[in-house]
Amino acid sequence: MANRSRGFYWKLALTNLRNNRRVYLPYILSSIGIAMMFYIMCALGPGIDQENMYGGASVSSMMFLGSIVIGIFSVLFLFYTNSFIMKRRKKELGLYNILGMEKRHIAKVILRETLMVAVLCIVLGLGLGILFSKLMFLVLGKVLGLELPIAFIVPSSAVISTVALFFCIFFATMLYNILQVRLAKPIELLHGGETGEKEPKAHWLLAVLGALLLGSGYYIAVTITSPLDALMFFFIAVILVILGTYLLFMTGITAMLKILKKNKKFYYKATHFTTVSGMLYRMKQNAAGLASICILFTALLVTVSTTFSLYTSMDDLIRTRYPRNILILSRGANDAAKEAIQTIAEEECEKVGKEPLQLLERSYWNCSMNRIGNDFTPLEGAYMYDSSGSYSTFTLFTLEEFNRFSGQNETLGDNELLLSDPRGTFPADNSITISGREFSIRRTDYNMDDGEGSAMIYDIYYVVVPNMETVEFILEPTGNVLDPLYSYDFDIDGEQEDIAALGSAIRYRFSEAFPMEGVEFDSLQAEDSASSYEDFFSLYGGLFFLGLFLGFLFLLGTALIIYYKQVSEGYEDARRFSIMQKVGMSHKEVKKSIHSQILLVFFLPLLTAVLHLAFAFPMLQKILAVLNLVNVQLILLSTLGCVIVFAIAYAIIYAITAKTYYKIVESAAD
Amino acid sequence: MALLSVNNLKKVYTSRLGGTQVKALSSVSFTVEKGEFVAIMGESGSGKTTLLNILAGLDKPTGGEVFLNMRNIVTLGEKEMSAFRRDNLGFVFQDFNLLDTFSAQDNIFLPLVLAGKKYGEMKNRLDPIAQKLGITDILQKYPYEISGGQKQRTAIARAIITQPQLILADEPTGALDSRSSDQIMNIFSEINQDGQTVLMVTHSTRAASCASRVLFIKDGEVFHQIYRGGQSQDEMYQKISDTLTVLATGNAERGVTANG
Repeated sequence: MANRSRGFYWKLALTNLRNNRRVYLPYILSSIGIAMMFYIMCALGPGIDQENMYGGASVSSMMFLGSIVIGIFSVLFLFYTNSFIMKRRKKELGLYNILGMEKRHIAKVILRETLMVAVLCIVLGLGLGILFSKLMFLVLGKVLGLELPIAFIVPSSAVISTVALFFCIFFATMLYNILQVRLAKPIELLHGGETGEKEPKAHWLLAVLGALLLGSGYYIAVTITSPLDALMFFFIAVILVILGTYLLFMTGITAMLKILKKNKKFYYKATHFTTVSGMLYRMKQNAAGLASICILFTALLVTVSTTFSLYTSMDDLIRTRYPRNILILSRGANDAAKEAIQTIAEEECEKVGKEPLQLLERSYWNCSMNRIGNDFTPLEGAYMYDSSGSYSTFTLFTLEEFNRFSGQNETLGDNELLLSDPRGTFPADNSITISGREFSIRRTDYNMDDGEGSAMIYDIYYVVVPNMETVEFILEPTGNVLDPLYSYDFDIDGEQEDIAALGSAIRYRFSEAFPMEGVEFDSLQAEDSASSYEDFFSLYGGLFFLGLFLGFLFLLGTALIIYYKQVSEGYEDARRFSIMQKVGMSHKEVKKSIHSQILLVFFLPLLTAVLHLAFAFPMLQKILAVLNLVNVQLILLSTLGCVIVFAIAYAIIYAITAKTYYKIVESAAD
Repeated sequence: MALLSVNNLKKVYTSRLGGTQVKALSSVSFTVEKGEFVAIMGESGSGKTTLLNILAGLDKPTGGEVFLNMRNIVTLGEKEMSAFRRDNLGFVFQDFNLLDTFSAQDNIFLPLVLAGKKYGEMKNRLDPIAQKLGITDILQKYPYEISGGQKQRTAIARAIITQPQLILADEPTGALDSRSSDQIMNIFSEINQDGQTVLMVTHSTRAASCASRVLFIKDGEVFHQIYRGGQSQDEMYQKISDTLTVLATGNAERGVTANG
């Protein structure tokens, strides 16, 4: 053997791969898919324009953590599938051993096989990854119809980390395989394929560990207060949940099946008998496959439902940001200015034959506050706040003004304030101090319809004060007492184009009409909801893009793993079902038995994924709140919708791949 | 009325492209009475396995009839055939066909579970059989943990636990050493003495010599048959071996040899 020509081992390795294509083909396919996924996760991050994308910095660090998650997933998945293949090939390798190949020669063959598979997977994975992302950029760019704040690039860092990671994984699987051959006696190798997978023991310790991991992951997810600040915790929660899922699927299902098996009444029933024993028999591999499906499907649900929530909330968000179609805002306007603004707006409305509806016209002051507990100190500027406290804004109305524009009939005592707190973050106590003076608080549910305020990230409170004197008291430390804001907001009944046309007409008039005699103001602006729609959309467009892209990627991954599972198990089960037919099972009964296995296998990852999603929900809600999305009901409905749609998609994928499974099983049974 | 009666059975295989036709069985007729132990012998390619597959309902003949217990199984549909197979036939295969996913006990239970029997009843049926076949100790083991002879005994237990009308055995000693083969054949003899009808396909003279009658198939037809009558197993062995020699040299005449 020593003087074999160099090509011999290569040839042998290639022949081996070809002869084992039934197991290698699905393995290679899923490896390529996973390499592709990993590359794309790595490549998207560096392409993000952190300046121009809403939450760009957070999103790109999330992508980085996402690539780590996919990396861990790749290691787990490839290791399990590899060990499964090795088991099936032991007989073949044992035969080589008995026919005179030394173990080191077998190692040489394994080395070459692994090298071929690795190169194929890495090259194709990278190539398809680049191709796929290019394609997605084109398609999604077209669909979303906007300038993306994410660039299509092929970052060398992503290429290097993909090659490095997958090289390491394949290297490790090779070492594992060689070790297996080294440790085994030839006779054991010969029988390796037949012993199949020994029925795994239900390790209670591992089950408890799995439950603990999952539980702590869930705990972090539920209790985390600020997911973006504590991204590290978010990440840890994800890792914990993944590991917990794997462990629990492996030990938990085994334990469950063992209990079922012990129940003789249940176990010895035609439909359960073959199902339970079949699943128990190769639970290890089964569990790994199921856990992988579950995790990818969870990832899919999380990304898609977040994206979809954002999308369905667009109108809502725009309405929050633009409570009226036309928003006119002026700083420091005097009475003449107010009158001129009103006249121009009314005239322009009349020109297009529209009437201003739900007019909201009011004067108010904004005041930055530094808050320590229940003590508020007015600040000179927004950025001058003391780091020991937290920053918030007061929007002040006088009682007279409030009663006028709201049509309410409130009264206030001298040291009494009326508070509107739409985000519910104000101290629960009924008294606060401002600049050392104590005020008692009464609350109102009145909706202030403040677009500008809704866009603020920090806390904003609407405060109605008894009189002008109180306004002056509060504003005094800031040094701009006589600088009120004046807003003139209204809706019109019309299409987006009408709104946009009116908006630009008013803006044009403003630029023409002023300066005017007697009219004074510091600034004046007119916004309309229609023109802003596009700005708004492009603000969130990057997030949509990422959500759709990743959603598609995860869907592909889920489909691939399901396919892998069906095909690899089809070949395993074929012989079993052929025997059952000989013993007296009809085609129909065989199908029924397969069906009940599939149902169990089908629902488990789905239900677990939904459970994961339920625990991730508070965290998602907080992330969405940062993006200005606070309508919990809407988020919940969108998420539910996504779960239903993707459960159906999942069922379709399953039905299609199950056909492949039936075909394999039946072709062998006939 | 005979338990099994095969009339003029034909089987022609057509190659996939429809070109060549291969005649596996040209015209096979014979009957098996209740309580008989019949061995069918023939060279490789003589049509033994085809015949057995048709009797088992796993394959359909091109022509002819098979009556088992006065029912023509050729006309049964797939579903009926499965039920019929389960209720009336027991199988013993050369390669055992045990399921790795089941313990020996569960393998034996498989047909009963499929028939919807209760655990208690299954257990009651199994105990005497397991004792007789000497497999009581290995019932909880998995097929990959036991020897070939033990596997075949497990398979026989699986075949007889349904109390079938007829046991079909396809080269039951084919994969076993001679000691295990003898054990297995003794078991067949014993269960036959208990009244079980057995039809066995084999090309082992030693195995066939245990039967009460041996049919020889050549070129797709029943060529010759030997009744055991009162002969010892050794005499039977000699006779079978003579017949095989004649068959192989090709100058035999059709006929029936019976010693009373």
